[in-house]
Amino acid sequence: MEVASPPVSAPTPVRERSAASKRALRILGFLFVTDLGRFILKRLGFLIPQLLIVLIGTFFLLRWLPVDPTSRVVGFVATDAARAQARATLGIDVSQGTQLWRYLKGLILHFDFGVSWNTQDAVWSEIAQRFPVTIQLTVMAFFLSLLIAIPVGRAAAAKPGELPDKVTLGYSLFAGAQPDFWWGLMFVYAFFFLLRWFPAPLGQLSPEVSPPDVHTRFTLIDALIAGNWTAFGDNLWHYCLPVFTLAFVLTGPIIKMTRQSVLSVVNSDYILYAKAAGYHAKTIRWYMLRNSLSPVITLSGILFGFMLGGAVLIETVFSLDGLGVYSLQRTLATDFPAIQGAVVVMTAFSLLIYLLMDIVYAVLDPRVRYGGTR
Amino acid sequence: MTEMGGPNIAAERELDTQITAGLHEEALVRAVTMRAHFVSIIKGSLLAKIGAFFVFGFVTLAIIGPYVVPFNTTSATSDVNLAPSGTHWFGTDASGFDIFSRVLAAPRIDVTIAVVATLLSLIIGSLIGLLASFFRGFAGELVMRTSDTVQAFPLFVLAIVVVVGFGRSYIVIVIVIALLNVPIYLRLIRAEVLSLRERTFVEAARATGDRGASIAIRHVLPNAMTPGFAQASITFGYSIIITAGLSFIGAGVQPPTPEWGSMIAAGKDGIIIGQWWPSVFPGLAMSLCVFGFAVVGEALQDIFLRRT
Repeated sequence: MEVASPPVSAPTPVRERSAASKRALRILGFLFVTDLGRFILKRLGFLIPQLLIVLIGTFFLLRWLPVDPTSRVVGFVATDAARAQARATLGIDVSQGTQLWRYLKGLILHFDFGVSWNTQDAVWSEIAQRFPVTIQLTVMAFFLSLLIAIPVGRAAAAKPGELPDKVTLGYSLFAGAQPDFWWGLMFVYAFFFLLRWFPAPLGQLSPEVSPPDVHTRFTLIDALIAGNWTAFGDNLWHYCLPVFTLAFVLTGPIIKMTRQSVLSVVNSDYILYAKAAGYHAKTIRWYMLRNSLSPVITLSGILFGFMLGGAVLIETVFSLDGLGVYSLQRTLATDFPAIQGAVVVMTAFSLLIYLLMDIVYAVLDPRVRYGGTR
Repeated sequence: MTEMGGPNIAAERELDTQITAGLHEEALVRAVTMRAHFVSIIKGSLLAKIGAFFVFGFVTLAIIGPYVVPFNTTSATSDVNLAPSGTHWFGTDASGFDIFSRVLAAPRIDVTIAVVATLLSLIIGSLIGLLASFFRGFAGELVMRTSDTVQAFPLFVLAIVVVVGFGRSYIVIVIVIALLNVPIYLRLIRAEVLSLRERTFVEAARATGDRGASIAIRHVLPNAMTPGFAQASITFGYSIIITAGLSFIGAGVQPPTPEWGSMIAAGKDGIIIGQWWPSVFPGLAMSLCVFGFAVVGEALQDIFLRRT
């Protein structure tokens, strides 16, 4: 493998480098010299155009819909002058190209997502208030699902065809295609109404618990920073049911994929070869784990995107004021900048998760780094 | 995986597989019909039997459901929030609707939307997939990258935006769900076509003088459709969940039309005060329906895996 020299020049003499610049050089060196680094750079190169396409796609999609945003401002019966006035206020009196240009300029230069047509507040501040709820919900559910599903899938594959395997397979088949919002309600009935194990599905803190000071907007982390253990426990308690609901559905396909993938690796030629060549059992187990996880990781990334998009359902069931509910409300209110912002932020986050999954994938599976199988 | 050295074993196995496949593939592809296989799998597995039973039951309900219900499904009565009883088997909801009748009538909407949407996405996806596989260069690449990018969208949010924007009509719901599923079929069919086009029977067709398009449509596509059909049964289930999900949050089918998602939504607030029946029964019906389709899809996928 040929090694490219880092295109970054280091003009300062070696002796005078500060610790910070050393670190920066090390990072750049990692990115440009190592295979993994170049892989990450390449994936980053895909990410930005993808985000841009989603942004522009959403922009024109919204304007293509047969709705008249001015009706929200001036009502359905209005004079032409009033309507024109409203169009100017909303900034849609110019051509769509100009609108897009203004939007992109604001976004790139000032990280400005525009102003909500509904509340006149900055879209970014509205999103920043709500997205942490959605992230906390989905990320917790995601990692819980991985933590449960991967060991269960591997255990099922250890003895294929036996009873535990059949039960697991039946569960994964069943849970993989179930309406999570209905299961959420069932969980509420069973674990709140009947058993009282978990709190009512009304927000993320009990009314009598005083919320911690806002630092990160993640209630859980803010409570931790403030050392407010009451709020921390209460918040975690409130997230239990929604997280379990999502995990109940999400573990299905991950278990199935893990099982399938472990089985195909176990029966593969290279494991047979490794055994024949007398590799240590530990080494073989590591090879098997490493290679069987790759498809699981890819699938998980895609599933995360689905879960994030569908978060509005679970947020509705548990009255969580997250980005999903926000985008629904603003869709019903024809608030284009708010919808646009929500879609862009959600896409950016799921692309970041994809990237993360890709990096894990590349670390695990060297074939990917060398541009092999992908 | 050559990393650990096994090129010889791998190569030999590969060759062996190819020879065996070459010898048997004509016979296999022709003799083994989907139906014969499907019957054998249904006979063999209890789960598949149950699944097929639910699929049959709910499809039947979609056709006759609205005609066999004991109560009017859309006119409000004063018998509100009654628990299940001999008269109202599944109870009544806050508008006095008989839940049993509405659960039976709902497949008319839910199953129909899901079936039409799935067929539409199967057709569109297969055609684009076929085209993308035959134009391998830039055009094919462009199609694949576009479908990648579509998958980067938060699709459910997009569905809400489009369905609400176009006034929540059934047609729009069908089209949106169909488009959401197109990338799956596109990938599936393309991958299948790419592997099929290298096989002997395609070569044989070419040798007998068939031209590109004719080979593609008469020989490759029919064989490539098998994984598509298996996936279709799974997509049915997802389509029902999306339809019901949209209705659940008020962005889909509107009450009083009997539809599982909006019925679950109507019972949502009753759950925390113990009125479980308005939400439980429609959800249960939906859950069984989706499960039935998933199991049948799985059985079909088994056939596909055995065939290849």
